[in-house]
Amino acid sequence: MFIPLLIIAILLIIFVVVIINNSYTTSIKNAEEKIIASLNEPAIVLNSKLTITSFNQAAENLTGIVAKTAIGQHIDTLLPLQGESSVVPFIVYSEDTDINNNLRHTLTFQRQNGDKKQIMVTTTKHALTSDKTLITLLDTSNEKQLEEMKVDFVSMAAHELRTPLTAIRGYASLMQMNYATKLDASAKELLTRLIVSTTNLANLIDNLLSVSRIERNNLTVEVKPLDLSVIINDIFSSFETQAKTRKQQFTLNMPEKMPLVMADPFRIGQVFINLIGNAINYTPDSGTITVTVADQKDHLQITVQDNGEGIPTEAMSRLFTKFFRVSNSLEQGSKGTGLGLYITKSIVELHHGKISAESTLGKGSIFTVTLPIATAEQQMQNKSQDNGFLTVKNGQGIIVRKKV
Amino acid sequence: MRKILIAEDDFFIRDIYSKVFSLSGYQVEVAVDGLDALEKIKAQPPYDMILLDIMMPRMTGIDVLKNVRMLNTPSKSTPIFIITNLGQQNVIEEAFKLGMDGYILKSQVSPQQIVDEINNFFVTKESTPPSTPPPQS
Repeated sequence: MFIPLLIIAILLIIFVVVIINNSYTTSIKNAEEKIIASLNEPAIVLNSKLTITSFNQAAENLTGIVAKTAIGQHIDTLLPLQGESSVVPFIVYSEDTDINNNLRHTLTFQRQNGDKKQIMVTTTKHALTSDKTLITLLDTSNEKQLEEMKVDFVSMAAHELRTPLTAIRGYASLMQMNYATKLDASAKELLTRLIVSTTNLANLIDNLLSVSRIERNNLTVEVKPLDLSVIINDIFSSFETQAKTRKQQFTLNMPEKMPLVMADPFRIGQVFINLIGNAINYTPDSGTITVTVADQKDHLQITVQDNGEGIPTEAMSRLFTKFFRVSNSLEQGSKGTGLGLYITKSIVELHHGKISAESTLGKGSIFTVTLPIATAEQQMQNKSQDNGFLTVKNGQGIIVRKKV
Repeated sequence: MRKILIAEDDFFIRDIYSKVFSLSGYQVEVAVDGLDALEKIKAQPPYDMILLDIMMPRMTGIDVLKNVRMLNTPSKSTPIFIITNLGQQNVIEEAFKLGMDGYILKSQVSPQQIVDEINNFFVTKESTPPSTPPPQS
């Protein structure tokens, strides 16, 4: 009598436990779905096989795919990434990391109607069942568009500023060239300052245009096999007067015969104008500036060394970033724009070269640029492309002449 | 005295170029846009030099260049320089193919440097025999 009762009791207990357990997982599942569904943010849940198990309304709106279609599909089928890496490695990585360690990744998603969306994808390990992954999406298309508009505006404004500025500089230089005899000494001095200031403004505008080209991936280099010695010599001579007036010891060490590098004569010129110009500006009177070119077999190394004020250690990491200026350089007057080194680095990188800086505060700085040497094929290939014209750098401008 | 036609739509820049070339002993004529330039080139005896801006109303400098080289104008073989702020390599190459003689990016070049470059062009031209083949059409 007692034993069957016990069996019934045990069966009853097992039954109750199973029921409770079942309803417990079901309620978790329901809760998860309710939470996902109630989110305003597009959210997707994946199982351990990276197959979609939940897909909320917001995700439907963003992707244009309905949940019915999405559920059961592999994440890579749903979010075809255009030329970019798959989100899977990010998911795998997030499985190995801490729950709070979200991973963000921006990708371009094309809706079925052809609209392209820029989406920021965040992958997180599921909080309750660790074999699941939670993905949230954020539509950043508007931010991208705003960023593009900002760059376009800067570019347009800079272009529009150029014409009137060219007129101002033109009249000032006309006055200096042709009417200087009619001016007294102080008027001449004022005129010189006017010309220096407008030249600075023109450089600033050119820098802004370069930056907007860099931001739009629109800064192009037209590389050809180039003997850098001609360009470096030209730039060196153009700075000699300035160094002499400041009693600086300004030296150029260059091998007699130099291998050709693949470079854009105008753009690479900007690099050395920036580096040498900076060295002269930030080195006190009677200081030393040395430009050294060394042939290092597969690349050419150009160093610009000065014994000037140097750069504080905390500034080194931001040296090549946009609008960054070493704080004490403000006291020097408004020479810099904080764009020069950013542009310089971008140009060097477009040439597949490298740039680095070392500095000791109070002792000086060394900037090093390396550029790959042109291969024999590159040199041959270019000979057939000779268009018969010569590009001449004149100050900071370009004049193109027919080869005589 | 050398006769030069300057086509530039900006009043002040046109004024500066006229002044600086006059001061250097050129006889200057100006055109306020591309079409104005082409009409003057068609109607006038040959110029010794033509300077063209690219971005001009009614007709671009490139189109003026194309027309001058293709049509039978008195200035068909007059040297032409493009003076502009457009520095793209493809524009420069196109202009050379159309038979331009020089290209100056104006933003960083002073007016006097432009005059020097043009003077220099004439010096080089006179010291070398005219062996340049006619431009392709």
